[in-house]
Amino acid sequence: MIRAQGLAVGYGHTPLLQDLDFEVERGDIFAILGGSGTGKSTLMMHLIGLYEPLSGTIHIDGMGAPDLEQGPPRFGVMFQSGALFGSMTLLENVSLPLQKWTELPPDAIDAVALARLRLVGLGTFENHYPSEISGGMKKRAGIARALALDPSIIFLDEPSAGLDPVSADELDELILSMRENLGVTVVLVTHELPSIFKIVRRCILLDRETHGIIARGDPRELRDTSNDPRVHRFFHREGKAS
Amino acid sequence: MTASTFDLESQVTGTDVELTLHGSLVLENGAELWNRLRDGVPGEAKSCRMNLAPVQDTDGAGISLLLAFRAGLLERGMSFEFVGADSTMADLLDLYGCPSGFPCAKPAPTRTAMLDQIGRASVQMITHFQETLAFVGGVLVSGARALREPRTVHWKDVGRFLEKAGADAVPIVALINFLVGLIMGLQAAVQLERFGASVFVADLVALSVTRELGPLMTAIILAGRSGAAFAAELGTMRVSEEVDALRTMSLDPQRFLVFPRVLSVMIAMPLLVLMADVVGCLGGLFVATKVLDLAPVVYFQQLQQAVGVGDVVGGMVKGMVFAAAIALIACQRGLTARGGAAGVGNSTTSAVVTILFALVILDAVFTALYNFLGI
Repeated sequence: MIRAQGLAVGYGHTPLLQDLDFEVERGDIFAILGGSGTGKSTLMMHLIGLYEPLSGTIHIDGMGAPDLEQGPPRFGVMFQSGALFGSMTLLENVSLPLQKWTELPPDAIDAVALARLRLVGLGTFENHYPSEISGGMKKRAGIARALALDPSIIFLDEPSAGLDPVSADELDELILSMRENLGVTVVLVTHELPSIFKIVRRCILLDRETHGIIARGDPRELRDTSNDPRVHRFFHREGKAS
Repeated sequence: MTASTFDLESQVTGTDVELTLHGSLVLENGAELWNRLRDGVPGEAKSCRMNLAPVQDTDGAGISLLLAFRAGLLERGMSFEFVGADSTMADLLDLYGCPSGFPCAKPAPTRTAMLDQIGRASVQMITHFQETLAFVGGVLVSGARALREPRTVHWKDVGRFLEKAGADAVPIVALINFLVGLIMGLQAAVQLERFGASVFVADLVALSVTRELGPLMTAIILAGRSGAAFAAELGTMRVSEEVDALRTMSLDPQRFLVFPRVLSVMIAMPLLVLMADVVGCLGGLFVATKVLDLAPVVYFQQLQQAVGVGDVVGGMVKGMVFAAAIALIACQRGLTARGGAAGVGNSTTSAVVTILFALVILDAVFTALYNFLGI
């Protein structure tokens, strides 16, 4: 579904991550893991085509290299803060890609957008503005907007970061149901261990010092079997001194 | 804990210094500890031993000062040793100590020479100019595509910005331009009355307002209101990832965000300039009737002879170009904002300063052009 080969990413000419090779399979919930500053979000920004890789290739099935100039978009993206447009209501935010990329009449667009909002549990908030809802609700609205055009892949940047445990768990359930009921491939960036163990099937773990991938596979297996002290520390929440 | 519970003994033997610390090395004693440590080691010393055995208690600030003091001596090429630290102090020294690979001493501030600063500022100015030109080109291309694919433009925003930049600006534009007309009239009245040429106050006010001051003052107000608002709004959208979100929906930010703003101010500005011309002339009328005792009909007859359609239309065209410059510069600065709230502030400031500079340049170009064309 998504294949990265010999990928080097970064800003300017300095690679933050290099020699990255990985594949995301259809229907997977795939996580890009790592501590703060390892380049998880940077890698995601390159995967979705916001930035050109310094070297290497990214291939997305049915699209080739990600190209945001060629609409309509083949994937949905939820940014860390939700990135909702402050001057629009939630319904208008979710309607926007439908207005721009479909021939649906306005009332049909409203119906589809409202269904997306209901799916993420915001069915009664359609006329609220982003400033009137909580952080967790903004993230859910961001997911609703990302799902607007029924993409086959959805990218989520730190979906449960900063949320209370109950909201984070609800979001995890939503991601699981997106995969099971909508068949969406999910690529997410996170370092929230409870979410990782609950929803992620395969992952790569990035490391700041080696600028690359130090582990890959099922996060539960990595937690239980990896002998690499860096992997052990990450999955057991241990600092270097522990 | 008070400052009196701390003491420092310094024993100098040749080029070796032994410092012995007593009492509490805590934040309250920090200033005294720091001053006495610095005075405790003579300039010719080659090695220093610090005995911490008599220390009763310490905190993070005390340990930080000891480590900073050690770093300073090491930088001078001296050898240094802590001795007598109990396990608690040793742990704190480790905790606050330098992690491997990181310099312990604060790096000396790098000084930039004046020529270097001038050079960097010049390069930055040229880069800004190039970016703005590239942006203008990009918007022109986007505008052409927008006309071919009108669905990709957020037309709803055009109405919203027309109201904000146009209708909402009417009171302030009217007030400022009335006062400008009034000031011009008063300044002229004193001089013209001495020569018995009071009636020419209409010529002076009307020509300066329609050809110059109306468009310029309105543009300055638009720059302060709408230019700053556009830069701040787009800057905030940029740093909160909203612009990236648009791009992931394959929506071109220039077409979606910039085009409606440019279009709306270009529609609003000529109308505001026309209104500014009218109220500016009314300011002159106020002076003519109340200060110079001219009849209103005389003022209007003189105004009609002095001002032609070319003067008014020329001012409106000038205003339209000013509006395009204001919106383009503001949007370009907003969309290149970086680094959170401070970045948005910087981009807004930069937008307003650049707009004012651009307005003066454009005004000079227009004046020369109109003179050349005989308008």
